[in-house]
Amino acid sequence: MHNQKLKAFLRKRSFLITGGMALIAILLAMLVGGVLIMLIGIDPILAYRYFFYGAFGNIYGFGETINKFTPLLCCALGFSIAQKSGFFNLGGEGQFYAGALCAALAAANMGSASPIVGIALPVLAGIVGGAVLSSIAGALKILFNANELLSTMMLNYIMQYLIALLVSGALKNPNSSMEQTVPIPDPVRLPALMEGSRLHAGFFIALAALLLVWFLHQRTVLGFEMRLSGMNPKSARYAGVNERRSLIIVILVSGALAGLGGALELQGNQYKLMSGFSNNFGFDGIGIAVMGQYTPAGIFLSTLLFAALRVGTGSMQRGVGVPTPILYILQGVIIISVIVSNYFVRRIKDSLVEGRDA
Amino acid sequence: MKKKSFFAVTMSITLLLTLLAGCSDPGAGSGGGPSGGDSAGQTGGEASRLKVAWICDGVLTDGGWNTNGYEGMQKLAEEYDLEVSYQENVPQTDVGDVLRNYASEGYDMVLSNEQYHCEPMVEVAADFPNVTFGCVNAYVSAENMIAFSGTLWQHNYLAGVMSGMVTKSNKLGLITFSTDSDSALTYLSSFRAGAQSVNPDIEVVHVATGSFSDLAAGKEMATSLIDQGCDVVYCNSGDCNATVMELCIERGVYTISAIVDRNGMSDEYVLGSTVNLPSTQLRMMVEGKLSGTHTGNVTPIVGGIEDGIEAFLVNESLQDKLDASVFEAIDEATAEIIAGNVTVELP
Repeated sequence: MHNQKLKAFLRKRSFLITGGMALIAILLAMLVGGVLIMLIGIDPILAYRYFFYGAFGNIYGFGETINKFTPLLCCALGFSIAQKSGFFNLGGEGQFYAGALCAALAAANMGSASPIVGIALPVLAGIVGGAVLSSIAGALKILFNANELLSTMMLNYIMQYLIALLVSGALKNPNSSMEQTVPIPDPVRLPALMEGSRLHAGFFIALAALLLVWFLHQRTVLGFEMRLSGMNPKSARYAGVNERRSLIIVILVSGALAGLGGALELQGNQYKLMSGFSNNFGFDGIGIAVMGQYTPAGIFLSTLLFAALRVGTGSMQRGVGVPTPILYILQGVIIISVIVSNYFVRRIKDSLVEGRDA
Repeated sequence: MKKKSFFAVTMSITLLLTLLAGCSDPGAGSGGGPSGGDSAGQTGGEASRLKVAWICDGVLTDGGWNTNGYEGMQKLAEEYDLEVSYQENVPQTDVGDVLRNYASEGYDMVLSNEQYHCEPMVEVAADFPNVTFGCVNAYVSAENMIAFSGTLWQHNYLAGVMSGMVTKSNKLGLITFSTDSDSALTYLSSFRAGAQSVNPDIEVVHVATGSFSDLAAGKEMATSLIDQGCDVVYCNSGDCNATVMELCIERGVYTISAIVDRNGMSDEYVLGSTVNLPSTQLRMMVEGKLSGTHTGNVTPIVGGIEDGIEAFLVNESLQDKLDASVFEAIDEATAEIIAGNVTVELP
């Protein structure tokens, strides 16, 4: 039967269902947003044209979207890998700051370094910085069984205010009235990749991180152990997995990924540290991981959506004057709809499995 | 169930195609892109129409600083037929991006309402020599950037004159964020100089809140000043200003508003408002660009009450309640400042 063939086809390619449902969710959310925009007297079609034009339709905007994509992807990967092993790392924001801080410190005196060393060392410092911060929460968890939800959250505050303290004191740029560090020297900056845009090479480093995380998880024994201890710690122990060792590695890698994000944002985009440097990259990373259902493709696409929302909504306001509250509502509605759509995806997938059909 | 899932998949594929088609449209199609605002429906589109962008770091509806700037821009847009675009809530980390976005989207002028945007603006201005930038109260500037800032003392001096005329206890209270910063000391010395110019026996008690948003601290400071016998209390510490004024009105003590015009709060106890309005500076920037006479100044231009950059707005409803000599003293001091006969020792 034709229908049976289609079902078999879809069973093999379930990503079509997930993607399709996510698209429907986004479009429904845009419809809701469109009605809101219309109610305040702005042409919604024109507003959305500005959205797509701003985020993807021109080289400059596309570069901006990808530049937001890079730190968001790192933070989402960091949350995702830890969550899959049962460690809820809400500290991406703090680890992002720790990475940026370490990268900034490493970068400060590298004005005459060769480009490769100049870029690589601060990136490594950022990775170490993120890992060190997450290891604090990790040590508290492993040694004292302290709840990581709280400890990672609190470490966020500590890092955020430590940065605020440093940029107004010890690390403040003496030639500026603003509370910010001296811009990092040229050899440390990630090169721009395209004429007419600020797209920087950090994008490829973030993509490499995505592939590495996938490889580690799916193709190595260590990754198998990580997944196993996340799914069922008791059976993992029974199967002879060194659960503690795998947890320690997960915690370090998770923090390292967020730290990498901080370093790339510093070296590719902002060049200097200031209060509010992160602009919620760490927290958005959590939303992205949940929305992407912790799969590489899902995370990739959700990150792209979050990045486009950051850039495209700005373009909507500049283009036709959509007020900020509406933009936030639109972002919220889109994100909630996609997460709800996952429920329907499960329903559809269930219906495709033989024998469960009503 | 079968039918439903089939329907869902077909729908999603259709929608995917629609979305992809929609995405490529604005860039390629006629009338799309950054100039879409003009061509798609709206009238106008003359080549000579000036495109002006304006950004601020809070919300348009703050009822004070940003509202004043935004309304000023709207007025200019009507008067000179400008195409005005705005972006509010621009965080410090995104200022450079937003300015670049505007400059690369073909805006002739890119203006900011926020003093602290001037540093990133100088950086961006270097990359867009054909665009005119402008920043309110800027302390650095560039060749293609217009920057004005206030003297920070002239309007305070006038507020001091009025306070000196109305005080009975010869004790005035001043509340600022800190008591040792340059701007706080400027406020103190000019307010005191104004008061002492009409009454040398006046003492100014200066206290700090240590916060722009701790309303309780502001209230506490004002209470202690009033209890010490100050019969005019002047507060310039962010969100605390309005709270302190409310308290003064409640306690029946004279008060002065800083930054924005709050004369309407009381027709009895608000003496006036020391204002430094963004709309004045924005008007000077836009008119300079339109006439081609002013498209940049490397050093910020400092202006005072004569240029309208600063003003002390006396509360009109006090005209028949206070002695005429109060207003005469203010007029006299204003004339003296403009004539250049007043000097205040600044930090």
